[in-house]
Amino acid sequence: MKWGALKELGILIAIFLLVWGGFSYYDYEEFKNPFSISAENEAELSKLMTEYLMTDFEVIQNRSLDSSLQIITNRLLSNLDSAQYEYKFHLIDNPDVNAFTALNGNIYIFSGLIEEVSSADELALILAHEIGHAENRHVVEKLVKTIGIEVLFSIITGGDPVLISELSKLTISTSFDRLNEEEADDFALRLAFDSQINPRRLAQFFLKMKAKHQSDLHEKLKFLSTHPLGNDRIKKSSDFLLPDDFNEKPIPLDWEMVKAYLD
Amino acid sequence: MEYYDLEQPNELSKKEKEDAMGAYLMMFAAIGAGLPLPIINLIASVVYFFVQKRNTRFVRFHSLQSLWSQVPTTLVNAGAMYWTLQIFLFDNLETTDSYFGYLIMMVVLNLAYFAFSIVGAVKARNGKMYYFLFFGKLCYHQVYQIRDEADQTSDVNLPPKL
Repeated sequence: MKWGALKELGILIAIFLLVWGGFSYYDYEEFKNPFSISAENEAELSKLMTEYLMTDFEVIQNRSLDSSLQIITNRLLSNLDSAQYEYKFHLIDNPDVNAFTALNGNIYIFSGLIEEVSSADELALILAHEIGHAENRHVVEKLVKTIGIEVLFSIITGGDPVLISELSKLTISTSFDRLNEEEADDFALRLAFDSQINPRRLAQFFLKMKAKHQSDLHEKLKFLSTHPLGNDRIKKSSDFLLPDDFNEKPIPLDWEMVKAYLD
Repeated sequence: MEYYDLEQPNELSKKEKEDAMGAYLMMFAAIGAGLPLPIINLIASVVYFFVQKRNTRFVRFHSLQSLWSQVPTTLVNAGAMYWTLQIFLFDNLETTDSYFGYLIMMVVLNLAYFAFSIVGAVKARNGKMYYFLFFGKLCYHQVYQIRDEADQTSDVNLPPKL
């Protein structure tokens, strides 16, 4: 009886392991994350949102500024393989020190941030951080988590202007959670390293922001309220391990001149 | 190894057949309790088995088979719950293929368990033995094996040792 029973136990376990293993090999890619929305839906939503943001914000149209920005973004994007989106960077006339990622690879940079950073490399790191949010699809995740997938779909299909404005405000004002920030930071540091930009510039910027934030309650430092800044984040950037043969190649832009274009 | 003779359908009373059938219906206990907690099924089965402990071997066999076969199902379901919570709380909603495979395996296992329990309940109601794969043999061995004398005299009253 003993061997017969053991044999049957073996058969039983084998059946279930086979079922498990067999179904694990199936390609679930299309519904990999049950909380995300498809690329088409995101593009649709992004179109509605961009339309709203464009009327709400004043976009800066300045060729010199655009080309300066392009030098920075080109450096980053050329070192980014298999990007998920076609990135579009918009320069907004707003004194707040902020930058944010919207849907479908739209990244908004406030003129206040251009004024605040001291070099093109610093801005490049912040943009790399924002690209990190987009590449890891944090924006979609955040929206789904805060308002729910049903509401998102109703916005896509209904296009209600009030809802769209609320959604846009939500995208700008709410912060990502700590894990997402860390992921975006890691991404930014790696991308900066690949682009021959010193990743430690991020820590420099963070420290500067923090010092300013502590000295006076700077109303314009929106970047801090949407990007909660812990000491661990600063430490990670400042401790980024650079090999001895790291060849830093600063972005050849005279930042004072770029700032002057703003005026 | 020696075993007791099996009871035949015509030797069993209606009460015994119904008691044996009841063992398999314990899986509905959780639904009855209104909670989707798989552990309730297991607790109900354990209680049922102990209630029927003094009943005939036929009833004991069926309640033990129902009890043992519930253990892997409960474990797999609990595993799925644990894994899902883990993904929700710590893995930032990142799911893997093996997770989906596990979920499907869990559904298959529960369906199989459900089907076998229904068949077992019907057979028991008709006074017939029904052996699940592995668990049938295990329970037959546990219930019908003729144990040592020592086991059987444990119920006998003895005078105090003077």
